[in-house]
Amino acid sequence: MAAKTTQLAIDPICGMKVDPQTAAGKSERDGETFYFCSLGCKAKFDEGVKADDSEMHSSCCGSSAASMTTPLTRIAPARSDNKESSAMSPVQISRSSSVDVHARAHVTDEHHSQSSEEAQEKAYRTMLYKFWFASAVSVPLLFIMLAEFIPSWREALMHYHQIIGVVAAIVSLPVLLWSGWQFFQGAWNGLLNHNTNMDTLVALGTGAAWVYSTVVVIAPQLFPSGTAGSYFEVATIVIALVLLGQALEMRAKSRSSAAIKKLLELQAKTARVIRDGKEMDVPVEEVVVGDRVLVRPGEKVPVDGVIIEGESAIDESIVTGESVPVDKRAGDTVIGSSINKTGAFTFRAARVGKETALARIVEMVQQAQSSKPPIGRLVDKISSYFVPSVMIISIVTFLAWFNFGPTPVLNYAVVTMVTVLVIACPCALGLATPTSLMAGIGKAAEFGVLIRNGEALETASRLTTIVLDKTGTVTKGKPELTDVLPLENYNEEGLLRLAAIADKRSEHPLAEAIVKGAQAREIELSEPEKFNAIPGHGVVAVIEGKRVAVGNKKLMKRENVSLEAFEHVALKLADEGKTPMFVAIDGRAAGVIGVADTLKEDSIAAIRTLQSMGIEVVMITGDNERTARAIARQVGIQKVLADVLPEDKARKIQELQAESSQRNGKGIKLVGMIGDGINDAPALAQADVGFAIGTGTDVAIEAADVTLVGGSLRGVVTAIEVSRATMRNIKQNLFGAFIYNTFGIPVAAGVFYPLFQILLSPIIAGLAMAASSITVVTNANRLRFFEPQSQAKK
Amino acid sequence: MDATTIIINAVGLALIVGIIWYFWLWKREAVAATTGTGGLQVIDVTVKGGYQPALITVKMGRPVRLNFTRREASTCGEEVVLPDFGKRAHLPQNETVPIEITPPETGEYEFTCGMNMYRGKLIVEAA
Repeated sequence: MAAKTTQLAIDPICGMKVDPQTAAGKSERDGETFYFCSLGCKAKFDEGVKADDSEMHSSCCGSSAASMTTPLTRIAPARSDNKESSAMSPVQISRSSSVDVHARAHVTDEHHSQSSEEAQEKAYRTMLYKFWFASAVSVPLLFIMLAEFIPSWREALMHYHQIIGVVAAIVSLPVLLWSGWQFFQGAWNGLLNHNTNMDTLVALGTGAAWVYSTVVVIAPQLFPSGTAGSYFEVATIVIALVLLGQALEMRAKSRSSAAIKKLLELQAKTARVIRDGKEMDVPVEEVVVGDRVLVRPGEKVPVDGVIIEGESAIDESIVTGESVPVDKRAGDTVIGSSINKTGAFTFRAARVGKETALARIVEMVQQAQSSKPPIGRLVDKISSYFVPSVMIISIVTFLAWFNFGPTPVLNYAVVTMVTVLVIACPCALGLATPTSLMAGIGKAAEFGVLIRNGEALETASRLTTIVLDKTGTVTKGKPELTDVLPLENYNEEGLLRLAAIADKRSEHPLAEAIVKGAQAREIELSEPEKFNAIPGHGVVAVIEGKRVAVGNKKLMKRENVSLEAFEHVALKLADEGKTPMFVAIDGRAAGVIGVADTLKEDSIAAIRTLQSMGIEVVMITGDNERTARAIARQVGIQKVLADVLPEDKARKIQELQAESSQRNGKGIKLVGMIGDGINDAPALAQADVGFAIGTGTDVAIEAADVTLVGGSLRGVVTAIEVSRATMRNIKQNLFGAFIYNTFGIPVAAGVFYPLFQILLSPIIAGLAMAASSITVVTNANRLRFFEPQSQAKK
Repeated sequence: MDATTIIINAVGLALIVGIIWYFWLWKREAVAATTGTGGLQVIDVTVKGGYQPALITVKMGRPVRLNFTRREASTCGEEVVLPDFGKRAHLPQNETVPIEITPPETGEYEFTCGMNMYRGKLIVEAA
């Protein structure tokens, strides 16, 4: 498929791409025609100004009042760009919109530019260099330390002790001051702020080791001969290990957000727009709202919009997580970055750039990743007490060994103090929650499950009950006419006709079903003379002088119509899972019309899975009890709340929440509510976790705690599976971090020495400290491979 | 007990007391954000070993702009997170990054660095 590229001219002054047909100005020079983005650039050109790089992308184009284009900026803050654009004509807008779409879509990092990514790369590389340097110095030092254990070498070492010591001191200094500089600086900055942090511990530990060893070298006379040890290698190795841990951490973090960035990269790069009757390929950033866009088979839909003509099947899995292509026709919405299958169509762009569904999803996920579940806040409180506590413990350790320890006291005292400082690693605690959360939320997003924040995730993992709305969630929400059962003197067609006319103006799906059913039978429907819709009841209309009421039992009661005649017929219908609509004419029972909705295919499986996960599934509906029960039976639900008025839904949720749960001995029921986000808003808000099921781009992202972009109940199972897995992961991390510090510090302090002669070498301590960070990050990364059963490919 | 032992123990105990006082008991003063045009409350926060200032008072219901400037090389402060507002920003060194929020309710809201090592608090008062 060869793409036709437009002949866009380049403005020689500022470098902008200009459409010759709509250029603000043009000039000829040496037989060549040049086009300009603005009269300002043209003026410059005419004066003989040569184009040079510094002019590129400058704000030359804003200088002329007559030009009306906005200044070009390399990376513009997305919001202001959109606001200014709206007042201008499409071509001018597209010219000024040459902003990197990736930067546009990264909304929360408002200053996130490409340079910061490069800076991160650079920082990572520098850290690696520092690590290698520290390691390089550590090797010989380690060698020397180990050599002391070899008898034949020992003699020689003793002899040259002084010199070796001096060399070691000098050689290890740059490791501290260059490789380890960030720790000392960080500790100092924190100190000025009355803050402690991880750097404080590393700086103190390695600094103490180095200073002590240097004193031993310079003034050996202070110590009984042969007792003072040198610990230069401790300082260098600890620094090397901590740097390694941090480098790995950096890499893990960038990989996690890489998954999200990859989503953005899957966007289409170009779009084929129709402007002024001509087709042309433009970069996707230049598509504006209102553009007509052509999509051919196999191409990616560039932006969000509504189909004007044509039809096709589209794979929307990138947004909804469902890989089955969806049929789309004129009037249907399409999502940017979805893949068009075999048809071709034209659509009108409705949302571009940052406003597309994909961009908003990314933004939401990023926001969610930065939130904190309640369990994370607990960790915060502990962290701030941690470092000073460790400092105090190290001093106490020193004093204990100094006062009561075996000789050489100073040696033991210093070594244990340094070990305590080194083995404490608060960052493992601080990392535990955020890293898992990022991975978990990102994972869920892959399947079209958008979890709003950490709190939602944590509550979702603990849900005991889930409430489903019948229509639209368990059933397709597209009820169809099934039976017309007139009573007494009415015939089928007459009854249906009156009922359909009465329902003509109603927007209720049941009413629509009746109208559609009548239209299918080619019954002519005139307009009612009067019409009144009563929510939760039905409609009352005046047709040809007759008062026609169509609705449920409540309506009949209200209209004082006796239900006797209806009973028998209605019951039969209800037992078949159909909803009976009673028709009364002039106050007398006239007939019953049956309307039925089909079940959503994957609903049954999803409900079964939820129940097997220990969650009670409850169905709530405004429909009558009998029908509801019939449907419930078909899907395997035991508990049904029927005849619930829309305004009572929230209260019902409250009632459920108040019931105590005997299962698991938990006192409180945590109730999740699944609805379509618009009518169910109050109930969704009342529930402990509100799940909004949306279809395509019509999603109430704001209101719900969890948004299921695909319309399937499977998403709920996935949401809960991922939440539980993430919480498990977080707890694993927290446990690992806690247990490690709980055991590590006492051992380092030498608590076990009196009993077992166990003492931790500072080097082992440093190793363990780096290992704990690495373990936490690696464990969190494990989540990226988690496959929820509900989405398992068969 | 000889002099050295006494001195060392005394120093040790003094250090412990000093740590407790300097890091835990130290009371921070809250700084109020300055209100500019259109009710926008602005405050500059320097990120260097911590947040300066770390306690900020603002009025509820009106927009607040926090200008974070990281003046250190340590990666600890390179990200600032306001979990209650779902905002997270990357702070390149020596660049001022504004974060705008509008606190809907009174209360205390923490903001921290990416790893929870630095913390600050936003105290929202009634308008």
